[in-house]
Amino acid sequence: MIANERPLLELEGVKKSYPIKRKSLTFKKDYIHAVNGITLDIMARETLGVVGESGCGKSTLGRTILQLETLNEGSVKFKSQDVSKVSKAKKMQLKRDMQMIFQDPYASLDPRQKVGRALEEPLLIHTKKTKSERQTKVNQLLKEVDLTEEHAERYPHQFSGGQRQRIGIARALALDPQFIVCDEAVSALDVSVQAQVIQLFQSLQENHDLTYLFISHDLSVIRYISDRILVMYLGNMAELAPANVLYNYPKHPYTKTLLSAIPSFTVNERKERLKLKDTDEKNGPVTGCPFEPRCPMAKDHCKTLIPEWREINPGHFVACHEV
Amino acid sequence: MQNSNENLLRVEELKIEFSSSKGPTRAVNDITFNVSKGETVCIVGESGSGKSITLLSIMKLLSKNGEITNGNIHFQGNNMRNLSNKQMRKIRNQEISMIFQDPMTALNPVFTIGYQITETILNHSGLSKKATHERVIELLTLVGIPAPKQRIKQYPHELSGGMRQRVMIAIALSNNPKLLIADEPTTALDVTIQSQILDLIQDLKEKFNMGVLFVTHDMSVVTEIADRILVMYGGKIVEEGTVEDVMVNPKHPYTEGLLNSVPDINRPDRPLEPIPGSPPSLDDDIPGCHFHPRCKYAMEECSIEYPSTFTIDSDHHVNCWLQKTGEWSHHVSESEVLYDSQ
Ligand SMILES: Nc1ncnc2c1ncn2[C@@H]1O[C@H](COP(=O)(O)OP(=O)(O)OP(=O)(O)O)[C@@H](O)[C@H]1O
Ligand SMILES: Nc1ncnc2c1ncn2[C@@H]1O[C@H](COP(=O)(O)OP(=O)(O)OP(=O)(O)O)[C@@H](O)[C@H]1O
Ligand code: SF4
Ligand SMILES: [Mg+2]
Ligand SMILES: [Mg+2]
Repeated sequence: MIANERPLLELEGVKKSYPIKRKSLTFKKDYIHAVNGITLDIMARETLGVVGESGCGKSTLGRTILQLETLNEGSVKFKSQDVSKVSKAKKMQLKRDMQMIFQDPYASLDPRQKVGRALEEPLLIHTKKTKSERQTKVNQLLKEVDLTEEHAERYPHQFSGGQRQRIGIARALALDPQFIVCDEAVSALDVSVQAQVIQLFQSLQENHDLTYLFISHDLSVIRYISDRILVMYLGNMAELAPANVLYNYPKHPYTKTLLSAIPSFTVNERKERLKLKDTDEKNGPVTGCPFEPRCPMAKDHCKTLIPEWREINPGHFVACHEV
Repeated sequence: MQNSNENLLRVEELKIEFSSSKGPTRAVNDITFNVSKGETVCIVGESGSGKSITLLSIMKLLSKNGEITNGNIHFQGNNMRNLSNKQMRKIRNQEISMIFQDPMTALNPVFTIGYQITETILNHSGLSKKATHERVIELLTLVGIPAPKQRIKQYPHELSGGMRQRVMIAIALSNNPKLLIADEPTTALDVTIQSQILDLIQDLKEKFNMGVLFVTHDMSVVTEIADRILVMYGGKIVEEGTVEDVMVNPKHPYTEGLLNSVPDINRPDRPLEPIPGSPPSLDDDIPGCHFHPRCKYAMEECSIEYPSTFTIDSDHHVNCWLQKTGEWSHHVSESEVLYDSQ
C-alpha cells in the first residue's frame, strides 16, 4: 500500500436495514440492522478480509457495495465517484469493474441456462467480442477454474457443489473486473481445489491489480489471503487491523473469542474455547456497545456508552471501552 | 464395530452412471462400505469425486439422467433397490434424513421457515399444535438461530447463508432419524456455531444410536466427529480406515496430498501445496490407477492396472501399488505439529 494513493473504494457510514414483519396492529416498525455504519477504505491491489459470525451482515455489506441492495444511509465511492450518483453509461462500466462471487452458487445461476451460455452472457452484454472470441474466452475461463470445455454444455444441476462454486468464480472473472467481492467463494471447495483457487486469486491480483473484499468464516483461509481484516459484530465494525497484527494481538473481546475457536487438527483433542455469554437479544442494545450483552469483559459503562472507533496503533482500529 | 447385525446401511459394489449426449459416463465406480448404528463415517475427497452422488443415490434422489447400474444398497437389512417410490418416501420421512449441500434445494422459497419445520414435525409425530410450535422453537435454538420466535416468520431468502443452512439442519434432525446423511452441512458456518452443530449431532448419535454418513472437505471436522473415514477419488474409494489410521498414517498419495493442502493457521507463510494437475473428468478413461497422472510416486504398473486393495491392518485398507513393497510411508509436512496421536 502506498501511503498517499487514493483508495479504490471509500465506504462512509454505510447502513442497510430490513423491516421485520409483525402481526401487531401498531404501525411502529422494527428493523434488523444488517449493516449498521461501516466506514473504511479499500486500497487498490489489497485483499480486505471480512469475518464475523453467521448473520452479522457480511453478505449484505458485499451486496450493498455493489449496489445489489440500496443502502439506507452513507455512501460508497469507487475511484472517488459516488456509485449511487453516476450516469447511466458509467453505471454499465461499474457493473463490469465490480463483481461478486455469491455465497450460494445455486441461487445465482439460472437453472435453465447452460453453463457456457451463463458465462457468455456478460461478454455479450458488456463487450464487442465476436462469437469466436467469446467462445475462446469462455473456454479459457473454464480452464482457469479447473473445468473443461465439455462442461459448457451442462446445466447447473449437473455439477457437483464445488464445481458450481467454480462456475460462479469463472463468471465473476469474465469481464476482467477490478474489484471482486468474494463471498465464501472457496468454502464449498475441498482443500486441494481450494488451494488452487486461492493461488488463482493471488496471481490475478499480481498480474491484473485486482482488489478483493474476501468474506469467509474460515479463519485459516482469511489469514492466508488477507492483507487487512475487518471483524464485524451485528452489523458493526468491531476491529480492523493488518492480518498479522489481528492474529497476534487481537484487542476486541469478540475477536479474541473468535480466534480461540479455531479448531486444531489434533485427533481426539478439543481446544479450550473462550465462551460468550448467551443472550436472547437479537440486535443488542441501542444505547451501548452492541457486543455488551455477550461480552465477558463488559463493565457498567458498556451498557450506556457506544464505544468509539479508535486507532490504537497505526492501522489498528478497535471499538471497545476496555482496550 | 463391524458386527454385521449392527449394520444400519450397507452399500455394495455401487456403480452410478449419467447419460449424456456423448453416451454414458460413470460417476461412481464400484464402491462398498458400511455404516453401523451409532457410528459416524466421513467421506472426504476431491470436488467431483462422487460424494454427493453416492449420498443422493442412497436417498433415491439422483437426477433423471443418473442411474444405479450395479450394486445394492441395504438399509436395516432391506434392499432399497426393491422399494417402491412410496415406500422410499416413507423411509425418507421417518428413518433417513438428509442435509443437502445446497440449502436452497431443500427449502421452499414460498413458505416461511416456521411453516416448513412445523410441517415436517406434524408429518411424523403425534404432537399437538402447541407442542409442535415449542419443538420448532427448541430446534432453532439448538442450531443457534437467535430470536427464533421472530425468525419463524421469515422466508428463506430473508436469512443469511449460514442461517439457511442451520434451518435445513433443524429440519433434518426434527424427527430423530435412524440414519443421518449430511452433505457438507457446515460449509457456511463459523467455527463456534459449527462446533455447536457437531455437538448436537454427536448428542443425537449417542442418545438414539443414530448412524451418521457425513461428507466434508474440512479436515478439522473430520478429526472432531469421525469414527471412520472413506477417501474418494475419481468415483472410487481409495483409502479407508479409522481417523487415526487415515489422518496420522495416510497410505495413499492422494490422502497425503489432501492433508498437505490444508492451510495451517499457525504458519500462514507456508505455501499451500495443492495436488498438481486436475481431478479426472468423468469422460477421461484413465487406465490403471486413476490418480497416476497426478501422483508423484507413480511407477510403471500404476498406469497399467488398477491397484488391488491392500490391508494395512484390520480396519485400514488402501488401493495403491506402493503397498506392494510395503515400504512407503507418508510425507505430510509438519506432521508433528498437526497430528498428535497419543
Ligand atoms: N432480504 C432480506 N430481508 C430481510 N432480512 C435480511 C435480508 N437479507 C439479509 N437479512 C438479514 O440481515 C442479517 C445479515 O445477513 P447477511 O446475509 O448479511 O449475514 P452474513 O454475515 O453474510 O451471514 P452468513 O455468514 O450466515 O452468510 C441477517 O439477520 C439476515 O436475516
Ligand atoms: N446430473 C448430472 N449429469 C452429469 N454429470 C453429473 C450430474 N450430476 C453430477 N455429475 C458429475 O458427477 C461427478 C460427481 O459429482 P458429485 O456431486 O458427487 O461430486 P462431489 O464429490 O460431491 O463434489 P463436491 O465436493 O464438489 O460437491 C461430477 O464430476 C459431476 O460433474
Ligand atoms: S497406485 Fe501408483 S499412481 Fe496410484 S497412488 Fe499409488 S503410487 Fe500413485
Ligand atoms: Mg453471508
Ligand atoms: Mg458434493
